[in-house]
Amino acid sequence: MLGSDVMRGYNDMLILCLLLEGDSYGYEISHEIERRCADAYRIKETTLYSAFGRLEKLGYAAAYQGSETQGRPRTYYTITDEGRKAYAAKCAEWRVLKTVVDRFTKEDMDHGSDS
Amino acid sequence: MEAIRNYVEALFASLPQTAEILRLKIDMLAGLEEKYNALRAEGKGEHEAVGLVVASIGSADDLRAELGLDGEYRAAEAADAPLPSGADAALQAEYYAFKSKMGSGIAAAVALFILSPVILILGENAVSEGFGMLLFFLFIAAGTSICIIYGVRQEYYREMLGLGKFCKRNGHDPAAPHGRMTKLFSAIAFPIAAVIYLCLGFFGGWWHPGWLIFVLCAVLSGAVAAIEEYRRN
Repeated sequence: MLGSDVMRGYNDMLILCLLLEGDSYGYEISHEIERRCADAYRIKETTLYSAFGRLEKLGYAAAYQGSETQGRPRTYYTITDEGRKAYAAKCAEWRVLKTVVDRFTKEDMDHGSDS
Repeated sequence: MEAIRNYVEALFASLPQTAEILRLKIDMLAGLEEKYNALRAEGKGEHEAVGLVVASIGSADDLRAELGLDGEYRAAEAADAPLPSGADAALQAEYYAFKSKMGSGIAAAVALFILSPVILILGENAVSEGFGMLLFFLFIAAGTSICIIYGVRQEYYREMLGLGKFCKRNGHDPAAPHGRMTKLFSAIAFPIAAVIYLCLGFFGGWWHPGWLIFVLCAVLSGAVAAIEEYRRN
């Protein structure tokens, strides 16, 4: 299970990726992240909902009120052009980061590291 | 669902109530409700569903960090705050409910303190000498008891929740029974009262109504302590 500090900086990317596939709302996104990551990562609700506010402020996503379900109007989010650009930049960053970390990843460390 | 709502309320209780944070809370509650309903639909029991939802929320520290509000409080061990367990969440919810009750309790105590001289005068004049005095002391005793009872209960909650580890920036000790203001007030007021009392007695011969000045001091000191205690929380 990845800790939240490891994933910091990539939560926004996860959310933008899902919004790229279609407008969505809090529970659906949280559920979808949980489903795709299986037991490897689970986004905390506090992280998720404060990320929405941040994405909106940055202009990467826009909120709108959806139809009411069970008496509560859902807040839906849709990705903006700025958001698409930010997502693309984040993907590019990840590709670089991956190759960098890969260069420092040894394959035969089965017997534990001796740091 | 009530437990989840209480937990979220407690989580947001210490945050500034801006429109942005309020919306975050409302959206989060809506999402958590859906999650809870989905878990129940999967066949999870009520307690299990509440536990799973609460465990996924994250801590108040997480929320502060996410919102960039880290400056206000500083955790002694910011390194790895443990995820609140179900029991902690229930206790936190209880503490939150208690805190609003404590607010009205302290308000009632202050009202009792303020009304006590009024009831003294009314009782003395309307019923009989001594009756007003009795009511007066009953009021003071009731007000003081309320302050003490809530104070002790609050101490208990703070200890159970590990809130003692959190200290405000200005560095005063939350465990100290009395604040600086109360101590200062008592230190100054009582000697002055003694001097005035002696002057009144020796020069005016007013020993009898004069002694009331000590009672007045005690009342004011109690009120100062109550106000300070309330403002501190």
